[in-house]
Amino acid sequence: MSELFLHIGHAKCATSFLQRQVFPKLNLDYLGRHGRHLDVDKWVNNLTFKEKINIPRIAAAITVAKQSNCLKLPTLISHEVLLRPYKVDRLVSRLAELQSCVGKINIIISIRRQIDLIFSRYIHDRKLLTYNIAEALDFNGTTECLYPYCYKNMNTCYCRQHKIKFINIPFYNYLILYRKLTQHFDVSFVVF
Amino acid sequence: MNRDLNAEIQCFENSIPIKHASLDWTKLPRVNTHIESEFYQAAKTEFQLLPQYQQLIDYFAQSNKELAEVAKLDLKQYEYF
Repeated sequence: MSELFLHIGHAKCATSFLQRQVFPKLNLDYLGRHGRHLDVDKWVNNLTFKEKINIPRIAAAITVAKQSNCLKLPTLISHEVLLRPYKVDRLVSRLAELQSCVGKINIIISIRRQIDLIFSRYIHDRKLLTYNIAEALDFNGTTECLYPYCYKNMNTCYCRQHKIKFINIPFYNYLILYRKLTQHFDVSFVVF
Repeated sequence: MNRDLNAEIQCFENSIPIKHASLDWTKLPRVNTHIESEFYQAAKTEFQLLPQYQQLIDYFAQSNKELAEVAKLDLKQYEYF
C-alpha cells in the first residue's frame, strides 16, 4: 500500500482541531478520527486496550479501507487514543507488528509544553472527578488508566476507585516516548 | 477584555480551506474562552504555586534538551522549549 502516516497523539495537543480542520483538507487519504472511515475507532481501541488482538486483520482492514478510495495518495490515520498512559510498551510493539504487515509507518506526535499539557489534562478530567492536582501528580508513573473504558469495566479503574485521575508524569516525557518508538521504527520515521 | 467572541467563532467556522500544509497559523483566530473562566484561572494559580511545579519544569526541560540532541530537533522551531 502507499505511504502510511499515523498521528498517535498526544491528546490535548490540538488533535481535534487538526482532525476536523486540517487533515481532511490536505492532499492525502485521511481515514482518522472525524474522517471518513468510522471503523478507525474500533481498530484504535483494539490496538490500545484489548488484551488479545489480531494485527493482520487490522492491517487488512486498513488496506481495504484504502483500496476503496484513493490508491495513489498517502494515507493518514489520526487518533489520539492510540497514545494513552496505558501499556505504552505493548502499544509500540503492536504498531511495529502492524508495520510488518502494511509496510513502513511514519509516526507523527503532536506536542506542546508539558507543563501546559498536564494542566490541560487536569482541567479536562475535572469534568469527571473533583480532586486536587497535587494529589494526582504521579512522578513514578505507577498508575495506568483505562479511561475512557472505566465505565465499561464497572468502575474498577484505579482513578474511579480512588476518585483521582492520576497524572503519569513519565508518560509526558517525550524523550522516553522517542526512545521506545525508535526501538522499532527508523528515527527518520518518528516526527514530533 | 473587549473581544467579539461571536465574530471570532464565525471566523473560525468559516476558516478558509487548507490546501497545503504551509498554513499561516497566525491568521487563525483563537477561541479559548474557557481559559478566561474564574475556575480555570484559580486552578492554574494553584498549580503554579505547588512545590512540584518547578520540579516538573526542571524535569521536562532536561528531558526536552536531551530529546533535541538525540532527535536532532531545532529547538528554535519550538517556541515553548
